Amino acid sequence: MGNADSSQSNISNKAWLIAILSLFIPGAGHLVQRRFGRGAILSSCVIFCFCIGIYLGGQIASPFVNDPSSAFVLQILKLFSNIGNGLIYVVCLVAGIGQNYDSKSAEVFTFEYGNHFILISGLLNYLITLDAFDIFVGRKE
Amino acid sequence: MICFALVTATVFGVVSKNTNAERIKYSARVFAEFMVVGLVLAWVLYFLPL
Repeated sequence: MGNADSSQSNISNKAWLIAILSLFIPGAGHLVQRRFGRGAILSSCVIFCFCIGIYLGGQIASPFVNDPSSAFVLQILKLFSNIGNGLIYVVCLVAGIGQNYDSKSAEVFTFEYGNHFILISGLLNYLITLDAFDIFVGRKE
Repeated sequence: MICFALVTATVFGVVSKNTNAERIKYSARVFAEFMVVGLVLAWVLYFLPL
Protein backbone atom coordinates (compact mmCIF):
# COMPACT_ATOMS: atom_id res chain seq x y z
CA MET A 1 0.00 0.00 0.00
CA GLY A 2 2.84 2.33 0.94
CA ASN A 3 4.73 1.48 -2.25
CA ALA A 4 1.62 2.07 -4.34
CA ASP A 5 1.14 5.48 -2.74
CA SER A 6 4.75 6.53 -3.29
CA SER A 7 4.64 5.28 -6.89
CA GLN A 8 1.39 7.22 -7.44
CA SER A 9 2.94 10.36 -5.99
CA ASN A 10 6.06 9.84 -8.14
CA ILE A 11 3.91 9.65 -11.29
CA SER A 12 2.02 12.72 -10.19
CA ASN A 13 5.27 14.65 -9.61
CA LYS A 14 6.58 13.61 -13.03
CA ALA A 15 3.30 14.62 -14.67
CA TRP A 16 3.54 18.09 -13.13
CA LEU A 17 7.18 18.35 -14.22
CA ILE A 18 6.18 17.48 -17.79
CA ALA A 19 3.38 20.05 -17.65
CA ILE A 20 5.79 22.75 -16.45
CA LEU A 21 8.35 21.78 -19.11
CA SER A 22 5.65 21.89 -21.78
CA LEU A 23 4.51 25.29 -20.54
CA PHE A 24 8.04 26.70 -20.74
CA ILE A 25 9.01 25.11 -24.06
CA PRO A 26 6.02 24.55 -26.36
CA GLY A 27 5.81 20.90 -27.45
CA ALA A 28 8.60 19.71 -25.13
CA GLY A 29 6.14 17.72 -23.00
CA HIS A 30 5.25 15.61 -26.03
CA LEU A 31 8.87 15.26 -27.15
CA VAL A 32 9.90 13.97 -23.70
CA GLN A 33 7.17 11.32 -23.95
CA ARG A 34 8.51 10.25 -27.37
CA ARG A 35 5.59 11.75 -29.32
CA PHE A 36 8.07 13.36 -31.73
CA GLY A 37 5.72 14.07 -34.62
CA ARG A 38 3.04 15.57 -32.45
CA GLY A 39 5.57 17.57 -30.42
CA ALA A 40 7.19 19.02 -33.53
CA ILE A 41 3.87 20.01 -35.10
CA LEU A 42 2.52 21.61 -31.91
CA SER A 43 5.79 23.38 -31.17
CA SER A 44 6.06 24.81 -34.67
CA CYS A 45 2.41 25.96 -34.58
CA VAL A 46 2.91 27.95 -31.35
CA ILE A 47 6.25 29.45 -32.41
CA PHE A 48 4.92 30.30 -35.90
CA CYS A 49 1.85 31.96 -34.41
CA PHE A 50 3.94 34.00 -31.95
CA CYS A 51 6.44 35.07 -34.64
CA ILE A 52 3.62 36.20 -36.95
CA GLY A 53 2.23 38.22 -34.06
CA ILE A 54 5.54 39.98 -33.49
CA TYR A 55 6.03 40.48 -37.25
CA LEU A 56 2.61 42.12 -37.57
CA GLY A 57 3.55 44.63 -34.89
CA GLY A 58 1.86 43.02 -31.87
CA GLN A 59 3.00 43.84 -28.37
CA ILE A 60 3.62 41.49 -25.49
CA ALA A 61 2.12 42.41 -22.12
CA SER A 62 4.72 43.42 -19.57
CA PRO A 63 4.09 42.86 -15.86
CA PHE A 64 6.13 46.02 -15.18
CA VAL A 65 4.23 48.45 -17.43
CA ASN A 66 0.76 49.77 -16.56
CA ASP A 67 -1.38 50.61 -19.57
CA PRO A 68 -3.78 53.40 -18.49
CA SER A 69 -5.92 52.95 -21.61
CA SER A 70 -6.86 49.38 -20.67
CA ALA A 71 -8.86 48.03 -17.71
CA PHE A 72 -6.90 46.20 -15.02
CA VAL A 73 -8.80 42.93 -15.54
CA LEU A 74 -8.09 43.00 -19.27
CA GLN A 75 -4.40 43.62 -18.59
CA ILE A 76 -4.32 40.60 -16.26
CA LEU A 77 -6.03 38.41 -18.87
CA LYS A 78 -3.62 39.59 -21.57
CA LEU A 79 -0.67 38.93 -19.27
CA PHE A 80 -2.03 35.44 -18.45
CA SER A 81 -2.34 34.46 -22.10
CA ASN A 82 1.07 35.97 -22.93
CA ILE A 83 2.76 34.02 -20.12
CA GLY A 84 1.40 30.88 -21.82
CA ASN A 85 4.12 31.32 -24.45
CA GLY A 86 6.66 30.35 -21.80
CA LEU A 87 10.31 30.78 -22.65
CA ILE A 88 9.59 32.70 -25.89
CA TYR A 89 7.72 35.30 -23.84
CA VAL A 90 10.57 35.56 -21.29
CA VAL A 91 13.18 35.93 -24.06
CA CYS A 92 11.13 38.68 -25.74
CA LEU A 93 10.58 40.41 -22.38
CA VAL A 94 14.31 40.39 -21.60
CA ALA A 95 15.38 41.31 -25.14
CA GLY A 96 12.82 44.09 -25.40
CA ILE A 97 11.10 42.61 -28.45
CA GLY A 98 7.47 43.63 -29.00
CA GLN A 99 7.52 46.28 -26.32
CA ASN A 100 7.06 49.61 -28.09
CA TYR A 101 4.37 51.01 -25.85
CA ASP A 102 3.84 54.24 -27.76
CA SER A 103 1.02 55.53 -29.92
CA LYS A 104 3.07 55.15 -33.13
CA SER A 105 3.16 51.36 -32.84
CA ALA A 106 -0.63 51.30 -32.44
CA GLU A 107 -0.99 53.23 -35.71
CA VAL A 108 0.26 50.23 -37.69
CA PHE A 109 -2.90 48.71 -39.18
CA THR A 110 -1.85 45.14 -38.36
CA PHE A 111 -1.24 46.03 -34.70
CA GLU A 112 -4.41 44.37 -33.36
CA TYR A 113 -3.95 41.32 -35.58
CA GLY A 114 -0.45 40.92 -34.13
CA ASN A 115 -1.73 41.24 -30.57
CA HIS A 116 -4.33 38.56 -31.17
CA PHE A 117 -1.84 36.17 -32.73
CA ILE A 118 0.35 36.50 -29.61
CA LEU A 119 -2.65 35.95 -27.32
CA ILE A 120 -3.77 32.89 -29.30
CA SER A 121 -0.29 31.31 -29.31
CA GLY A 122 -0.17 31.53 -25.50
CA LEU A 123 -3.65 30.03 -25.10
CA LEU A 124 -2.84 27.23 -27.53
CA ASN A 125 0.24 26.42 -25.48
CA TYR A 126 -1.93 26.04 -22.35
CA LEU A 127 -4.02 23.53 -24.33
CA ILE A 128 -0.87 21.69 -25.42
CA THR A 129 0.35 21.59 -21.81
CA LEU A 130 -2.93 20.00 -20.67
CA ASP A 131 -2.63 17.46 -23.49
CA ALA A 132 0.93 16.51 -22.44
CA PHE A 133 -0.25 16.11 -18.82
CA ASP A 134 -3.20 13.93 -19.88
CA ILE A 135 -0.98 11.71 -22.03
CA PHE A 136 1.41 11.13 -19.14
CA VAL A 137 -1.30 10.21 -16.62
CA GLY A 138 -2.90 7.87 -19.18
CA ARG A 139 -6.13 9.73 -19.89
CA LYS A 140 -5.16 9.94 -23.57
CA GLU A 141 -3.03 7.97 -26.01
CA MET B 1 -7.33 34.75 -41.17
CA ILE B 2 -6.01 31.79 -43.16
CA CYS B 3 -2.87 31.63 -40.97
CA PHE B 4 -4.94 31.82 -37.79
CA ALA B 5 -7.39 29.15 -38.99
CA LEU B 6 -4.56 26.88 -40.11
CA VAL B 7 -2.60 27.05 -36.85
CA THR B 8 -5.65 26.73 -34.60
CA ALA B 9 -7.20 23.90 -36.61
CA THR B 10 -3.90 21.98 -36.57
CA VAL B 11 -3.51 22.27 -32.80
CA PHE B 12 -7.18 21.39 -32.16
CA GLY B 13 -6.93 18.36 -34.42
CA VAL B 14 -3.68 17.06 -32.92
CA VAL B 15 -4.82 17.61 -29.34
CA SER B 16 -8.39 16.33 -29.51
CA LYS B 17 -8.28 13.14 -31.63
CA ASN B 18 -6.46 9.84 -31.24
CA THR B 19 -5.67 8.52 -34.73
CA ASN B 20 -3.97 10.34 -37.60
CA ALA B 21 -6.94 9.91 -39.95
CA GLU B 22 -9.29 11.40 -37.36
CA ARG B 23 -6.87 14.27 -36.72
CA ILE B 24 -6.61 15.21 -40.39
CA LYS B 25 -10.36 14.99 -40.87
CA TYR B 26 -11.11 17.07 -37.76
CA SER B 27 -8.42 19.67 -38.60
CA ALA B 28 -9.82 20.07 -42.11
CA ARG B 29 -13.33 20.46 -40.71
CA VAL B 30 -12.30 23.07 -38.13
CA PHE B 31 -10.29 24.97 -40.76
CA ALA B 32 -13.27 25.01 -43.14
CA GLU B 33 -15.59 26.14 -40.34
CA PHE B 34 -13.28 29.00 -39.35
CA MET B 35 -13.06 30.17 -42.96
CA VAL B 36 -16.78 29.92 -43.70
CA VAL B 37 -17.87 31.57 -40.43
CA GLY B 38 -15.24 34.31 -40.85
CA LEU B 39 -16.30 35.14 -44.40
CA VAL B 40 -20.03 35.02 -43.58
CA LEU B 41 -19.56 37.29 -40.56
CA ALA B 42 -17.43 39.69 -42.61
CA TRP B 43 -20.17 40.04 -45.26
CA VAL B 44 -22.92 40.39 -42.62
CA LEU B 45 -20.96 43.14 -40.85
CA TYR B 46 -20.24 44.83 -44.21
CA PHE B 47 -23.96 45.37 -44.83
CA LEU B 48 -24.78 46.44 -41.27
CA PRO B 49 -24.79 50.22 -40.82
CA LEU B 50 -22.43 50.40 -37.81
